[in-house]
Amino acid sequence: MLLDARQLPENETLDADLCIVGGGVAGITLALELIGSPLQVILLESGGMHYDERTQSLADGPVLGFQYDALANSRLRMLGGSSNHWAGHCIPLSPIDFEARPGIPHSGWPITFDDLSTYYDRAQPYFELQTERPYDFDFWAKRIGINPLPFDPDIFTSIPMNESPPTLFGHTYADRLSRAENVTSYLNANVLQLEANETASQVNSAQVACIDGPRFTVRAKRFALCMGGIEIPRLLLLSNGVAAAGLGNSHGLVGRFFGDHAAVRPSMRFLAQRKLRDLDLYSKQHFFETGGVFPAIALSEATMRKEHLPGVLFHLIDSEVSPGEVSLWNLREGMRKGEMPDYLARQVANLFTDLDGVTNSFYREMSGDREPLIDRPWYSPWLTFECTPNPESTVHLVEERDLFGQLRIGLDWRLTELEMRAVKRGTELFIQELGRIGIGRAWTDVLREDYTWPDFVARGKHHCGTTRMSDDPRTGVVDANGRVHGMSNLYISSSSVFPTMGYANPTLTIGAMSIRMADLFRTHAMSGEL
Amino acid sequence: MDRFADMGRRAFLKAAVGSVMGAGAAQAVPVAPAILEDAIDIGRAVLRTGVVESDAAALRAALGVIDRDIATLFTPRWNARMRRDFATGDTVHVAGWTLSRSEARLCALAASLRQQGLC
Repeated sequence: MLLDARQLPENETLDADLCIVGGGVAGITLALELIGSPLQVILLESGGMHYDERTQSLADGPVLGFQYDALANSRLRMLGGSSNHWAGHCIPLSPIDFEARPGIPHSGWPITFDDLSTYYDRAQPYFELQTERPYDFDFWAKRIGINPLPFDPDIFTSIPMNESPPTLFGHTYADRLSRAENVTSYLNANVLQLEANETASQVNSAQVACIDGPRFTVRAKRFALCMGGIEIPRLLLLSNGVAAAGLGNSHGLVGRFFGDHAAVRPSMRFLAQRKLRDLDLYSKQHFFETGGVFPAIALSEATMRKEHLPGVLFHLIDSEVSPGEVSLWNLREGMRKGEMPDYLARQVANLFTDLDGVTNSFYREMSGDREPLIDRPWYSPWLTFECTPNPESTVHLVEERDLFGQLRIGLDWRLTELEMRAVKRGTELFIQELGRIGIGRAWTDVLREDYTWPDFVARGKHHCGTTRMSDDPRTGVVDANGRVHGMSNLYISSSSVFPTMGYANPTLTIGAMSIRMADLFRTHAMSGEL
Repeated sequence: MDRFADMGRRAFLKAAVGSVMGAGAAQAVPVAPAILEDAIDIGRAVLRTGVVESDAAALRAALGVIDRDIATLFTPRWNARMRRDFATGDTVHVAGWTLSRSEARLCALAASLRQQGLC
């Protein structure tokens, strides 16, 4: 059933075997997997079927550290959650992402890639993706009919990122949720607090409120938090009725290790000798009757190991925008704001050394034509990098309050020298490979000695790490099954449990982990443990 | 502002990505005057940054060439060496561009010979 919680009577108490908090990819996948199980499931979603400004405002909070998007814009509170505005990129984590790696402090999962492998396979259909050899690059290159670029396999690996349509989980699966007999989904149901027993070792109930509606209670034998990596620590920290530091926070780890996928777009501009058809393999999405493939280029595991680097991923973007056009724009913006752009001398030099580009810029402006006057095969690769685990990168409660009077959460995201090293070394190696293969030559500011983070570092809004997974309660919030350490019945399925995050977009892994959790819950139900 | 600053990146790339090297031709061939001028301009920029040897003799020695005629410097024989430079990370940075050290030396040698009036 799919119900509007605002229709419930005031102070109602609902009972279930399992209460899922959050109706995004994680929560919906978990619920769908449990349809037909002996478990009575309640799913609570903060939003409705559509965007609502007041509901969305509940996600707001200050940005306290490195540049970031407004928090209210970085997640969506409606059925389907942030799948309502995702790009659809799917790729599993790599085996190396699960390892404790020398040179990457705090890295490693308590599970391996093999532990998730079959769940990745089972997750593919949820995202409307190919199921036949989805991550076999040669298979897809052959099907597309373009040869892969001959990168040195010790340096770069071509990967076939899978493209979901993208699946909007709320709209796609609302009907199945409506028809589910053992799953009741409540919309507009905002969980304000989890109430624990007197030793804070078990959650007894969730206190829930609707905007302009009733407050009610959900009691359950088990709770699964399936929200994002900012909202989960917020709820745990707000649930401080018994444990003053919040639930699961006896070692002060809740909210620490915040990470995201960040990107320098572009990290370089390169001019190919000519329009190489092989580059088309990477610079376009290729769609099929089911799903699609967007080939990308990843730093190899060999180089990551040898140089102790985090993950780096390149997308080739066919931009037709040259350095001269960019500099012209930078200088104009600088004049408009009364500020000089970074590397002023370089910007001016670019105007004179890239007259083709400047001509194109003026031509576009004068004619309104998007096509360039002088067609040059420029590419502007985007470099996405993995943020390494950093305990000083945090989300924590602040003194601001939301419309329920609840404390908001602030984001203090921090990057380290490791990420900067990944950007610089990744760029350098990519440029060298372009030259070695004979594709062309590249221009970049990234390799300057005085290079610093640009004004805009793109964010994936993939909130990871804030309730990280570890076998040891002193180094993680949840165990290898996603159960909160020290609590018997509180589980988490979210990117918030990722101790290391690789370069892969997290959504597929989130789906795979929810399927794994559903299997665990079914097993527990069969054994009488749940 | 010198000619490097005035030249288009098209010329830069013509020189840098192999056209100057007479791609496709196995033997030494005369280089088109315009492209030679581009290589010389790049060479001036290379010399200004100081990333390779600064005089013709040292550049010849580093490259292992004895050619007197600058036009015959630019042949496909350098392509493998340039690729090897990239493979081993033997590169230099000039005005934001990354070049193989060998191509930077070749262009610098061209500029140096022009400076001496030898071409």
